[in-house]
Amino acid sequence: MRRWVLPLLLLAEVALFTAIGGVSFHGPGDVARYFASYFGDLLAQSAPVLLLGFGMTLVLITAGIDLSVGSMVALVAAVMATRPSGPGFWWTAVPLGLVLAVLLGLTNGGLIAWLDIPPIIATLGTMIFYRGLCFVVLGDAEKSPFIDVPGYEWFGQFSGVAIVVGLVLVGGGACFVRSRWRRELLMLGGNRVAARYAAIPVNRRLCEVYGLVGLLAFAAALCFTARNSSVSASSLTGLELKVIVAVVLGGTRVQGGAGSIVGTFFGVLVVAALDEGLRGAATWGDRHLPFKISHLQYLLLGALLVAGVWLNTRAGADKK
Amino acid sequence: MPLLKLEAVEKSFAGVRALRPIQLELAAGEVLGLIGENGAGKSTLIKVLSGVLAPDAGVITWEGRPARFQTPHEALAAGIATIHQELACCGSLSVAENLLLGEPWPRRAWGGVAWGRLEAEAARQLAHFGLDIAPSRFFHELSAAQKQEVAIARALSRQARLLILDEPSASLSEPEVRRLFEHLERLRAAGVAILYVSHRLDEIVKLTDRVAVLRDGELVAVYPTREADVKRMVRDMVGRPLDQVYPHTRPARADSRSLELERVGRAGMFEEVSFAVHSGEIVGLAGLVGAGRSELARAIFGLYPVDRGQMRLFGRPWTPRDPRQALNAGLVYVPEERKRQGLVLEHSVGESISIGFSDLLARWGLIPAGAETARVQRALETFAIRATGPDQTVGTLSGGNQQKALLARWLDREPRVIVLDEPTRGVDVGAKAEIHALIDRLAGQGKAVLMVSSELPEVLGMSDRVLVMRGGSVSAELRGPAMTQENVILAASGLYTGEGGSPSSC
Amino acid sequence: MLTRLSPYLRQRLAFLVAGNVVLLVAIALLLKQGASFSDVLERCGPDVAPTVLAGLGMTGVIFTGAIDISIASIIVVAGTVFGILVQRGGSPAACYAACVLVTWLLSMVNGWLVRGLRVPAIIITLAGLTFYRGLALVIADMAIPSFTGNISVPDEAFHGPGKVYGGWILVAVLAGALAWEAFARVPRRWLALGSSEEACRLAGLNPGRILQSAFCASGLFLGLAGLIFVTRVQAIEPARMALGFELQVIGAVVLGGTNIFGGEGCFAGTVLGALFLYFTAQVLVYAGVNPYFQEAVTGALIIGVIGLDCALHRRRKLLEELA
Repeated sequence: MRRWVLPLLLLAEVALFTAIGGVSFHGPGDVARYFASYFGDLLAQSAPVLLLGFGMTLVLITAGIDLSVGSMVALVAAVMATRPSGPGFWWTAVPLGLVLAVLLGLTNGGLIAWLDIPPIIATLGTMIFYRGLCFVVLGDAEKSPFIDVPGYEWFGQFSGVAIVVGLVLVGGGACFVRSRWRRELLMLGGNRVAARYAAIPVNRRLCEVYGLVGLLAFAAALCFTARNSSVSASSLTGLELKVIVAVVLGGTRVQGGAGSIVGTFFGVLVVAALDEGLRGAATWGDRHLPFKISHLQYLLLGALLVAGVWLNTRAGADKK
Repeated sequence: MPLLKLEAVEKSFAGVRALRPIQLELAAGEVLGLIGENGAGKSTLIKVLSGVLAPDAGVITWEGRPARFQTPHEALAAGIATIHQELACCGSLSVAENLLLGEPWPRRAWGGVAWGRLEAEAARQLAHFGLDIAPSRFFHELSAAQKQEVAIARALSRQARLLILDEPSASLSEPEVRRLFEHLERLRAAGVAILYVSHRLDEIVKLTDRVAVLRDGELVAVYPTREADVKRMVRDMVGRPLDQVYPHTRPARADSRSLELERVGRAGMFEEVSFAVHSGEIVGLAGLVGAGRSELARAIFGLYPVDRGQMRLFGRPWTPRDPRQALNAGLVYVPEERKRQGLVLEHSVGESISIGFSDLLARWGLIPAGAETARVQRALETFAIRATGPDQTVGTLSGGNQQKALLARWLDREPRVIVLDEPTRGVDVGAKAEIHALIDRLAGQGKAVLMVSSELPEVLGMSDRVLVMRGGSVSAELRGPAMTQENVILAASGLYTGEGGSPSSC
Repeated sequence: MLTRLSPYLRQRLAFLVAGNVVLLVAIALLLKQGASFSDVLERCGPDVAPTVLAGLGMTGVIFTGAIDISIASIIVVAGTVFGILVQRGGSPAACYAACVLVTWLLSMVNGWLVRGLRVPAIIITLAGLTFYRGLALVIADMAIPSFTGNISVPDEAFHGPGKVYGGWILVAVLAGALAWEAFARVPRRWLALGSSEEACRLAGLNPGRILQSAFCASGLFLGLAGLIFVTRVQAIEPARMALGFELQVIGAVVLGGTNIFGGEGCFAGTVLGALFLYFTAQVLVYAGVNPYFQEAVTGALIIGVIGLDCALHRRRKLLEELA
C-alpha cells in the first residue's frame, strides 16, 4: 500500500496547486504541454535536492544523517565563484570545486568513522563550520561569474539536469542496485556489529558514503549556480531539511538498514512540488490566508519529517 | 506450605518449547540449585519467575496466592528479587543513590535532600548485610563482586523473600565467592528462599539443599543435594547416550596442520594458548562463559590482534589485520550470537546468505542476479534451510533455520579452516542433528574445524580432541578415553587432575 | 557537592578554569588603550547569559540521554510573541511573562512528542528546528499587518533583562541552579535515566515522566535565556535570529564534561564551557580577526572538542561492541 501513496500524493499536490494557481486549459493538448513543461521545470529546479537525495539515502541506510549538505553546496559554489569568469572557468573553478566538495564530504566521514562522533552532532558542527567558511570566502557579497562562462547554463536547464541526473540514476540506480557496495552498506546500517563480523570494512565504507555525498554536492552546486547564476554566503540555507524530508517520505528509515532510491525520487518530487506550489500560490495566499503561504513550508516540512519517521518506524516494527 | 509453587508452567518461542510443563516447589529458608546446559531453559525460567516473561500456561503460586507478574517491578514488589549476570545499574551515581533508587530520600526542613542521612541509611542497610562499602563511592568504581553484593543488599532491603541468583560467581574470585556464600547462609537462616542458578557444580554441592536439573526445557530430576554428586548431576544434565547421536563418518585426520597457535596471548582476554588444528580434524573448545574462548576465536579471525605469541595458517605466519584477510586465506568464523553478531533480522534469507560470498560472485563490483539467485537457491537446499523462499525475512525463521542460514553464509565459500562458536545454541533437536552431520561432512572433506561449545554432549560427541579453557588459558587437553563429561566439567572448574592434563601442541 | 563529581569531571573543570584564566589574560593583553577590562567583564554577563542559561537546560536534557536541537527556533517563537505584544501595547512584565511561557510550553511539547510518538528526540527536535521557525513567521504574519521580516522593539523600557540586569538574572539563576543540582533529587533521576533506563524501571520509576521533567526544566531555563536574548536586540527577525545558537549551547555542554550520550555531567561544567567559548570569541574579536572567520573558528573549535571527547570514549566502545 505504501508504494502508491507517494505518487498519489504528488498528483494530488500538483492538482491542488494548479487549481489554486488559476491555470486554465483549452483542451488535452494544452494539458499535456503544461504538465510536460511543469515537470521538466520541476526537475530542473529540484536538481540539487534530487542529487543530494541520492546521497542522503545512502547515508540514512548506514543509520547516519548529514545536516551539512546545504552548507557544503553553498561553500563549493562560493569557492567556485571566486575564480575569474570566462572559458578558463572550466579549468580553474570546476576541478577546484570538485576536489573541495569531496574533501568536505570526507571530513564528515572522518569525524564520524574515525573519531566516532554521532553523525547528527558531527554534521551539525560541520554545517555551521562550512557555513562560516562561506562567509569567510564571500563576506556579504553576492557573486555571479557563472553567467559569463560559456556553456555553463546548460546545467541549469532541463536537458543538462536530465543528463546529470540521468547519469546519477544510471550510475546510482542500475549499477548501485546490484552492487556489492550496496549490500555492505545495508548490512552496516542494519547491524553494525554483524557487519564487522562479516568482514565489512565499516570505517572505510562510512568515509566512502560521506565522500560520495560531497561529490554529489559538487554536482548540485553546478546545477544550482547554473540556474540561479549567483551565490551568496547564505544561499541554500534549509536545503538539508528538504533533502532529509524527501528521503524519509520516500520510505527510507532513519534507523538504517533499508532504503530506496526510487522512493527518494518521488519524495523529492513531492517536496519540490510543495515548494513550487507554495511559491506559485503566493498571490492566492495573500488573498485568502492571514499569513504568507511561503512560510507554511517550514511547518509542513517539520510535520512531514515527524510523520514520515513515525510511519517508517511503525512499518519497520510491524515487519518484525 | 511452600513459598513458591509452579504447576504445569510452560513457555514457547516461535515453535521452540523453551519450558515444558514444570512442577516445582520451594520452601522458605531453602536453597535450591538449578542446573542445566545452555539452552536447557534456565534463563527462560528465571525470566518467568522475575516477571520479564509471562508463562503461556500453568499457575505460579506465590505465598499461597496465584501470581501473574506483568513487569519485573511487580515481581520485586511482591518479594521476588533477581540478581542477573548483567546488573542494571547507574554507574555515575553513588552506591547510596543506587541502593535507594526509587525510595523516598530523607529531606531537610527546607526540602533539599539530606545527603548525610541518605548515606547513613545506606550505610545501615549495607552494614545489616555485613558489607563494608562506603556509600558515597561511585557505583562504577566498585568491583563486580561488590556491585553484586550491593544488588543483593538492595533486594533484601525491599523485604525480598525469594532471591534468584543467575550465575553469581561468574565474575568472582575465590575469596569473593566464599564471602557470597557467607551472605547466603545468613539469608537462609533469616528465612529467605534462594534459587541458585549456576554451571559450577562444586558450588551447587557446597551451598544448596536440593538440586533441580533442567534438560531441554523439562525438569528431569529434583533431589536433595546430599544424594547428589558431580557424576550424577552431569548425567542428569546430559541425558542422551552419546554414540547414537553424533555422526562420525569421516576418516581419520590428515597430518597437515592447518592452524597453529603458539603461546598466543592478548591482555585481559587469554594467555599462553598453544594448540594445533589439523585438516580433517574437529577440535572442541570447552569451558565456562568468560573463559576466553570466543575472544580467542575472534583474534584468530582477525577482529583484533594478539599481543604475544605466534599463529600459523597452513604453515605460514598468520597475523591478520582484519577479517577480510582471513576470508581470503580460507578461514571463517561463525559467531556466537546469531541475532546480535550475525544477522540483520529485517533482511531476507537470501541477502543474509549471499553477503558471505558476494566477493566471490562480484564482477567489477556488481553481483550478477542470475548467479546469485542460483547460488542462494543451492545453499538453501544444501543446508536444508526451511524457508518459503530466498525473500523470506530472516527474522521470521526458526532459530534452527537462522543458524543454518548463518552457517550457509560462511560455509558455502568452501573455507579450509572453520571456527564455529556455539553452532547449535538455541536450535531444536532436528536442526541440531542436521548441523552436526554437516560439520562431520566438512571434516571429512579435509577441512580443519575448531568448535567452541558449551554443550558437553556436542563437544564430546563431535570432537576428535577437546581443549578446556579456564580463566583465559588452556587448562586441559582431553583425548581418547579421557574425553568424558565429568573431566570437562572438572577441568573447566580447575579441578581436573587426570592424564592428558597439560596440552601439547602435537 | 564537589565530592559527587567524578575525578574525570573534576579534571575537566580544572582545565576549564585554567583555560578561562588564560583567555582572560589574553584579552587583557589585547585590549587597546581606552578600553577597560572591567567593562569587558561587565558586558560578559548579559552577553554570555543566554548561552549559559540555555546550557543549563540542555545539560538536564542531555543527562537523560535525549537532546533538543530546536532551542534556537523556540526562542524565535517566544521572541516573535514578545515583539507582537510589545507592539500591541503590553506592559513589560506581561511581555516578559509571555516570552517565558511560550518557551516553556514548546519545550513541553517536545517532551510529549518524544514520549508519545516514540520517535528519537533528535528527529523530533530536528523537525522542531524548522517547524517552530515557520510557526514564528506565520504568527508574525497573522498578528502584524504588512509584516516585512522584522518586528522592531525600539523602546528601551523593554530592554531591561537583556541590557540592564541580564547579568543579575544570570547570577541569581545560576546560584539557584547549582544549589538545586546539589540538593534536589530530580537531577539525580535524570542521570539515572541516562545511565540505565532499565535500572530506573526496576526501581519503579517512570522513565517517561523523568524525561518530561527534564524538558520542563529546560523550558524554564530556556525561557529566561530567550528573554535575555530577545530583549538585547532592537528588532526581532524570525527568519535569521539565533541561527547556530543550538550548536553553541551543545558545545558548551560537551566542553563542560557532560557525556553527550547521557548519564554523567554537571552544571558547573556547562557554565565554564560557555564562558570558554565566549572568551575565545572575544579573543578573536580583540585580536582583530576577520569577523567572518569567527563563526568558522568557533564552529571548528566545538567540533574539535566534541571530537576529542568522542575519540577518547571510542576505543573502549569498539571492544565492547565486538564482545
